[in-house]
Amino acid sequence: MYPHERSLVKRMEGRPFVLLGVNSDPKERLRRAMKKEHITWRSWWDGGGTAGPIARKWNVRGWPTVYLLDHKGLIRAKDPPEKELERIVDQLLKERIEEKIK
Amino acid sequence: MAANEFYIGSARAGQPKLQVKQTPANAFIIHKVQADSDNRQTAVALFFIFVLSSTTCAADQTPNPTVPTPDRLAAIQQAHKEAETGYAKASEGLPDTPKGSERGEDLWKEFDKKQSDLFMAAVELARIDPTSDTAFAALEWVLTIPRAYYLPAGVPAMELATAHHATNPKVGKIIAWLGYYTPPEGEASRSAALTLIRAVADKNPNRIARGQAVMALAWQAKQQFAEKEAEQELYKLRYLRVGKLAPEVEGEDVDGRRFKLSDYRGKVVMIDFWGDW
Repeated sequence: MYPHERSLVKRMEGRPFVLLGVNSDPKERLRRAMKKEHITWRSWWDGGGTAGPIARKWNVRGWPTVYLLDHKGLIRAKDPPEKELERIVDQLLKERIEEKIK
Repeated sequence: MAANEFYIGSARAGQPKLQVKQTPANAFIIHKVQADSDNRQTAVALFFIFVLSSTTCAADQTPNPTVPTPDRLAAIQQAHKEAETGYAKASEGLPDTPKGSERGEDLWKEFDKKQSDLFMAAVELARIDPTSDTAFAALEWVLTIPRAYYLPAGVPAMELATAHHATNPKVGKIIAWLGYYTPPEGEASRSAALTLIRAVADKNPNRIARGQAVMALAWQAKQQFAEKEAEQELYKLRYLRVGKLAPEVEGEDVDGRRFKLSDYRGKVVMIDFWGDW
């Protein structure tokens, strides 16, 4: 999924969008992956395994799991199909601007 | 019945002698009063009867005979059976109307109060000589009627069984009932029930009784696990769905710098749970 995320982050540069990861790897492995895959976005390190506190709190049982939140912090999509993802992000950004205008 | 006969008055020959017989139902009957020429003395004796019978009435829920005999338990069980039959008969054929169901509820409450008192009477009987066979029979009776777990007699019955019958090889039947109908989380008698089951699992010499206790504990563990799973699913349904405010995320990045989700409020956020595998 990395290339897809990289291109999304790249395309959203300068816009009020942020990609945040919650990572379930041991620290060394996470460091290596970030370097090797040119991962520029921030991740919480969730204790080194899949039973970390954040994954437990969010009841995550499968990886990867993606949530999209709008600018108010509301959950707007969970595990959107890959080809829908960018469309939804665009729409959420649009909503945010529309609300600012109102 | 010798054990249930009380003699009041002076033991000296020629003195008035009263014999009071106690029936299992705890009623006192003056059996025999020897005539006495001295009226004053009779008055004193009658006063004693009065004191004795009124104390007995006040202590009705906690009879205090010296020996727990099987017939006393049988009488309690008989009274329960009659109350139960009476309740079944009275609630039979009640009309299927609000009034009818109200009447049914009243009848149940009345019966339940009665059985609560009878369970307590059995526990008090067991308390007299808790290691005796009759005491065990009384506790077994109470603890194989699951309704008792939710009545005041439940906890003391479990405590007596734990203290005096955890090593009784015959305790398995109690454990089987208690293991199947274990009071759920939040019930006052749950901890007493689990203590009894654990005590039997730990120290009963009988393999079958121990096995029943271990089964009961395993069953409880399974239930708790299932409840936890269900709780998580419920949380997911309630809070982790579209339209709900995302729960806060707080923690450290790979370099130990703290940050939290709410720092990004105002932006569109994609949260990606990922691993490099």
